[in-house]
Amino acid sequence: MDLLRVPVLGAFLRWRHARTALQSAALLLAVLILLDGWFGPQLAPRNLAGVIPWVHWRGFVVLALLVVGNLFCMACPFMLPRRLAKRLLPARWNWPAALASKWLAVGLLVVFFWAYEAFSLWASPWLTAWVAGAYFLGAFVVDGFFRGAAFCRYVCPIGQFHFVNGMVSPFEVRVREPEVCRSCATKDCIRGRYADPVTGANPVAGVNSVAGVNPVAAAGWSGRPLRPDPITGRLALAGASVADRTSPSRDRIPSSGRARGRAGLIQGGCELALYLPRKEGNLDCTFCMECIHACPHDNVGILARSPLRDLTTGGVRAGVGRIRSRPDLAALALLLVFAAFLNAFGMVEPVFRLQAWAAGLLGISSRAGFLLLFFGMGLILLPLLLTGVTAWLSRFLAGPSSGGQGSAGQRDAAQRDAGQSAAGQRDAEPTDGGGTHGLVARASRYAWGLVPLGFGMWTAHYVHHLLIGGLTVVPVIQQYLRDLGIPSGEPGWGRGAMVPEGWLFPLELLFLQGGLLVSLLATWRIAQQTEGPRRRALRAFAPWALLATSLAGAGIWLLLQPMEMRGTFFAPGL
Amino acid sequence: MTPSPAPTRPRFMVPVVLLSLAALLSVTGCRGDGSGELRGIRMDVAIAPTPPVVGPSRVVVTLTDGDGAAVTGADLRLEGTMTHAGMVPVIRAASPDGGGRYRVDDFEFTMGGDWILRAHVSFPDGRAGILEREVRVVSAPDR
Repeated sequence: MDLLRVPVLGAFLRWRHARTALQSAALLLAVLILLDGWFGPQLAPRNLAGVIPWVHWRGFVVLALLVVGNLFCMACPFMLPRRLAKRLLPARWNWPAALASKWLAVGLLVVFFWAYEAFSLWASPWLTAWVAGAYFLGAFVVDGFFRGAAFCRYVCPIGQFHFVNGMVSPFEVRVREPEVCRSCATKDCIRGRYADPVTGANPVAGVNSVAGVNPVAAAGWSGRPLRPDPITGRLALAGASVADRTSPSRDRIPSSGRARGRAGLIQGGCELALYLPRKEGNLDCTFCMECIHACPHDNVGILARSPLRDLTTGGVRAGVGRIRSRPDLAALALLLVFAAFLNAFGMVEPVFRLQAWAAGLLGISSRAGFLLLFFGMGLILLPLLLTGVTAWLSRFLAGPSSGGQGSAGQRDAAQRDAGQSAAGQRDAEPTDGGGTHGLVARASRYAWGLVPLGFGMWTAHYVHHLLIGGLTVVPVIQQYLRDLGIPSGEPGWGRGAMVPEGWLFPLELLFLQGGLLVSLLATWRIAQQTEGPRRRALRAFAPWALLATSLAGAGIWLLLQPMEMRGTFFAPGL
Repeated sequence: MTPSPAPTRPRFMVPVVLLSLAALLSVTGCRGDGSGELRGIRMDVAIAPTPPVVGPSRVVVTLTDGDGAAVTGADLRLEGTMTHAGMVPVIRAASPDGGGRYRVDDFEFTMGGDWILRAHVSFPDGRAGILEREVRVVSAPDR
């Protein structure tokens, strides 16, 4: 299924201003939230900045990821002022190589999760508005000075949440027919599409046959202006050949995009360096649809897929590299998995007792200080310890020589699982072949199996809030309009739940258990790809299955606890 | 794919956005919390059982003026809301109990955590406003 082929929806998404339209609506809503957060009543249930971000936005984000994909990056309002920044500011620096990984984003996420509890962001419309304002400012400054989408790729904490959990989504932006890409010489999907340097018109799409080939494409045009040879009249290529630009490195920001001074650019390409023919999955994909609009062959769609492929592909991915060689990505994934549980931990009475006891034992009276310790342990030490022990046990049980290319049997098993077919070059490419003998490489490979479980917990938590309080936005908006002098009827403050309360626990359990199931399937497939023989794969799989099941058990215990919304006053006893 | 002319960027987009933002800012203004004309009136709250637990409770609100004298004759509606958005508030009308006390016998705390009790007070002379007090409610009685 291709969403671009769905009646009405497909036509809207193919419209080159679709994203701008969505972003504009989101920007308007964001401005209202900012204004109410800064100037409105400072009671979260009565303020748009209290209700919409922490009840509706979080709930709809996870539902969108579950049902479609990264729709909230598609409609991101931070990107509109950022477009202005690209015009006003130089936007010519390359993102520093030392920061060209996810470690910065990991750090920012840890800070965010700590601040969320330490400052009770969920209870403060004023602080919430400032956090949103900081995102606007961050996107403006970072992408105003650095090329491409550096803010999205390396900084934005919200984006990282979407990227990782989007790996579970049922849709993906990818090429329809790989053969078409092999014959494409212009690679507009990543370099952008330029006006014909001679006529100034939008260039004709390339054709595969020699006779009908686009002369611009055939010249190996690199995007730089072509000049007619004064003697022969033939177009002369200026600059590097196409071959030099068809395999962008993981860290290179493409030279296309809406850089200031890039004359003739009609449509930007992917600013996150996701070269479409080699793009695999939703990691780092903002669903911006630049590639869809840039492709002259109409060969990019939003296609249905199995999330298991995204979670288990071990081969080289465009813009990402090889998953097992990216401990920063694995750290990001593990952080989000453990944060899903820790975030919910902070809402139950037994944990408050534990916190009060621990604070007393350690003699810490500052709530922020105690939470710093608590989150440092819960988001850094505990994941390191648990995944380290699990990876060691997995390697120990799997036995020696469980990594590398391994035996022919291992290669055959890996290729079978990668789904090699007649069309198969693309399917065969992601074959992993192992290489997970080291603990870090092993943990970096298997960590992705836990992502669905983490996503299940996030979904259970956020959908809970959406379903029990989704309708409270109605009286909030009514009161907002009344305060502005606009008649809106008497606010019905008794509105709240969208479903009967008895539905909540079964739904939460469904999300959590569904996440566990997908996690076990994904982890088993990873084990088959990396270990080969069934018995070895089973032994390598077992410790990770135990970790996932234990986390799910902790999640069920959490869901059964009475919820307490604490943290805004009464510092004694935390 | 047929060639199409290079699209132009709408030049008016930036000023329209800025003007719209300015308009929004000017009409939004300040939305107050409604503490209104009750300066000088103090509110004390007594809740049974103590400490407050999830479930039905008796809440007695005592209003006194700056001199400590009881404030009588008020119409009082008690609203309980939590600090987290998405919670349905509990709203009950209070009955005068003499001596500046106003009682609610069936106030239901629906969840443990941090609550804000808001007394919507109005007088026959037209004065009205909201007084607030913070309360922590536990899920189960402390052992």
